[in-house]
Amino acid sequence: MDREAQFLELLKEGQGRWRAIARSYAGNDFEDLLQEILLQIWRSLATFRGESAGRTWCYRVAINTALNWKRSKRTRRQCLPTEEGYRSEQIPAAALSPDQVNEPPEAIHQLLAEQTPADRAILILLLDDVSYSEMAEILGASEGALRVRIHRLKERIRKRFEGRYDDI
Amino acid sequence: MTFEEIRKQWQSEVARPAATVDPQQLLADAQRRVGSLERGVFWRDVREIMAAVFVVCAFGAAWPLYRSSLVATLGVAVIVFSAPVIIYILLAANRRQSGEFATSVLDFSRQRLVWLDRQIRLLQTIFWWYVAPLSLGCMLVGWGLTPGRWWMFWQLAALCLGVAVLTVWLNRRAVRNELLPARRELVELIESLETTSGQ
Repeated sequence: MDREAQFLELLKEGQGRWRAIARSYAGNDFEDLLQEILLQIWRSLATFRGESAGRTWCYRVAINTALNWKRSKRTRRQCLPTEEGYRSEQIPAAALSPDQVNEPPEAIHQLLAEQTPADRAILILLLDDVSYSEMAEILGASEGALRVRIHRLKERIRKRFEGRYDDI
Repeated sequence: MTFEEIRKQWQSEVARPAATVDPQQLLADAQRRVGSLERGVFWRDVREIMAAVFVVCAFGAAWPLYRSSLVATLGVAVIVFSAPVIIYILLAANRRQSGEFATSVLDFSRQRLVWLDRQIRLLQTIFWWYVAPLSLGCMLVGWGLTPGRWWMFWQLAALCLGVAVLTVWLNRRAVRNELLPARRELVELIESLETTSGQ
């Protein structure tokens, strides 16, 4: 499969997910981040060897881009010029604007926004039904330690929604 | 509401396609942006190299003006030799691996920390590799070309020192206010993931 076909295939499968990840990390600026994710997926496809599943690979690129995005936005002006300092023309907003009703509800994003960057990534993967082994592969963490961390994360969320959510 | 319900809500929203997005259009846009980005990086490198070439050529062409002064010649030599070194340092700082975003989050974060540390080190030492050689070179040229006219030399020296102090101060401030907080954030993320990875 050539690179373009691969990109379209990944786009078909992951478009909604990338948009949700972008919204989780960038809030109202999600279109900028979504463009960055699309750009990094296209660029990184040149080195994709199929050693991991397409979905796992895409999660890595999307989460790394999202985690890097905010830091880069803040430091871009200060660092010596890099590729990140260059932003080419934007994709027309109309091409990316999802119907607002398609976005995950505010409560979920509020919950995600309250987490540390690492916990936010874990929670997104958890909500997306990603297996522990795949999660470990994406994050570079051990499966056992992830289980412990997820247990603690769920506990915190349960306490956070105590009174509102009765069975987390 | 249960965690399962939250999960289902998330998944149903994620699975719903955006009505207005044409995949072919997104592909074309991504390709255009990557092309534009690569051209931008290429021309930035060209501009930096041309700037160094210009400095060397300009001082070479002005040889008749300063050849009678040993001090001015020494100043020109400092500038001409430091220009390629500065460009080399800038170009080396620009280089990055294209496939790095596809590594695990922990590995990516470690790579970013290495990159950020290099940026911090470069900005913290900007006096030695950028400001000092150019300022020293300019002052020597000024000294050599204005024999006996000390007030002119002191004006030039004051200007050079002012620009040097301002450049160093701006870079130190950027490191303190922007890069070090970003570094702390990155270290926290790495430590958090390393705890999870059992390291």
